[in-house]
Amino acid sequence: MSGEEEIGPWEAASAPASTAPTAAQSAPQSASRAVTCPNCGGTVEIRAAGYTVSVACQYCGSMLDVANPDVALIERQNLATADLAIPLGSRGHVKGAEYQMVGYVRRSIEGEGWDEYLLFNPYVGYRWLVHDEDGWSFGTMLTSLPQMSGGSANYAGVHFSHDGDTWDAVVDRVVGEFYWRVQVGDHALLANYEGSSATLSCETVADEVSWTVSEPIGRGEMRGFGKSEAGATDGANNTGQSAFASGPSGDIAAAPDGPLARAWFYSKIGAAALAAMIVVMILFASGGNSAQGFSYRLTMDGPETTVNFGPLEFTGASQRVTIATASPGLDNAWVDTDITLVNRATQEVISTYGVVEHYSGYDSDGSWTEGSDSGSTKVASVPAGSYDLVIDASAHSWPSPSYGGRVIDVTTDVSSGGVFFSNLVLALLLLIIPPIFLLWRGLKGRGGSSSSSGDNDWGDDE
Amino acid sequence: MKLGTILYGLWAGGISTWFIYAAIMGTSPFAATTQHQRGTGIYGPTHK
Repeated sequence: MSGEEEIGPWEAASAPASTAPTAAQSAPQSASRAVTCPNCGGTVEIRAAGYTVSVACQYCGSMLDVANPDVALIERQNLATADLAIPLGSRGHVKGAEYQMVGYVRRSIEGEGWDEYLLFNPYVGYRWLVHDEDGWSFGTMLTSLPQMSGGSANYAGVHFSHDGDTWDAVVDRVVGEFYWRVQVGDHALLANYEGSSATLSCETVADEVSWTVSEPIGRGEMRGFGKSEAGATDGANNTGQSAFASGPSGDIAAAPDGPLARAWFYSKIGAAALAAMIVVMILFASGGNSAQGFSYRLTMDGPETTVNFGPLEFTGASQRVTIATASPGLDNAWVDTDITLVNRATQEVISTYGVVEHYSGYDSDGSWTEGSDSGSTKVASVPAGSYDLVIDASAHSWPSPSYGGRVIDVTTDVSSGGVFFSNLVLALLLLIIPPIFLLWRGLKGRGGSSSSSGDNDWGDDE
Repeated sequence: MKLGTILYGLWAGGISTWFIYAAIMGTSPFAATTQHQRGTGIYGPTHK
């Protein structure tokens, strides 16, 4: 990846933020300074000195006001500092520019949360890396208002449609430093406007409205952020440990980000479940009672014949029963069978119906055939017991009565056990619904261009 | 582990459990359609 910064349409179209430093500023301010937390006494480093207004102590979580020389305690906390997917102070590259992670905010709407990492580069300014259930996105705060029209917004020539909802987002956790005052419990009204490849977010706090445009990014567009500044002096000395590959939040590696990656991940889970079902199917197919065969004769175009066989013993508590009928050599004729299983103990009957038909002939296209001289009927959930098999059968010729009076042999085989193949098809369809949905959402959200599933260079630090 | 992974795991586990239950009971929601419906007694090829 080149070191040249990629300037998107959002930056090109926007004026510098009043609060954030920009490329127009020729040089960064002083690198950093340290203050002492009034609550726990810990030394808190200010990485974006001159811009940072508030900072959360990384030791106790207390919010400090550092806008004035005298550090004031905004909110006292005594929280254990948990690991973050991107360690505070770590450096990395996003879209070709190097940033340092200076602040972390976890926010939620009705219990569903997401993570926001504030990135800082003294030449570029502030940016956001946002991580939610859809994966990672890169956010840039707008410094000019989009043009509003009804329920839509236009910015930099891109049309964004409002999804119709406004949400109350609350801050659940704060770590690091920020260019505005923020603390746990802060509320903001959020409204999202969806564009073809980006999302425009409008955030309202009291009378202050801010707009941010965010674009989904693949893993290949982010590198580094593996070690905090305390562990590695700079990106060049980074040992290659990546927050995204093996960092504290290992769940990121265990469950990939982005709809496409998750679709692939879920597909593998589904494939494992399907393989287990196929094994079950094979095991059940090898079990059950062996087939019992019966034969009888029918007169073509003759009267209906009733035959009675038995007993048939079904030993399982409940089983599938397959009744296969065949008449070898049957042609231009069909055999109707009314099949009844009669429980000898309870006299309960299970009725089904089967037909075997086979036709052939010649026409201008040559010879043709249709049907088969055998077929089967499957009966579900037959209770255990001893059964009689009663078959009312008749044979008919086509065109009638070309074979009238001819006698044909018919065999009926009855077997129990096995699994309905339709169950496997249904299970497969149900299993692939979530991956297909994620695949559709991923392709829709990224225009099918940038997939996070294929890129895996998180640990490829420079 | 992510919530989505847990939910999909439960989803796949539920489907597998149902499949094994259906195998044990020898049943299927489509069992009725695997049986031939009683015909009218008038058969012949559909070939024209």
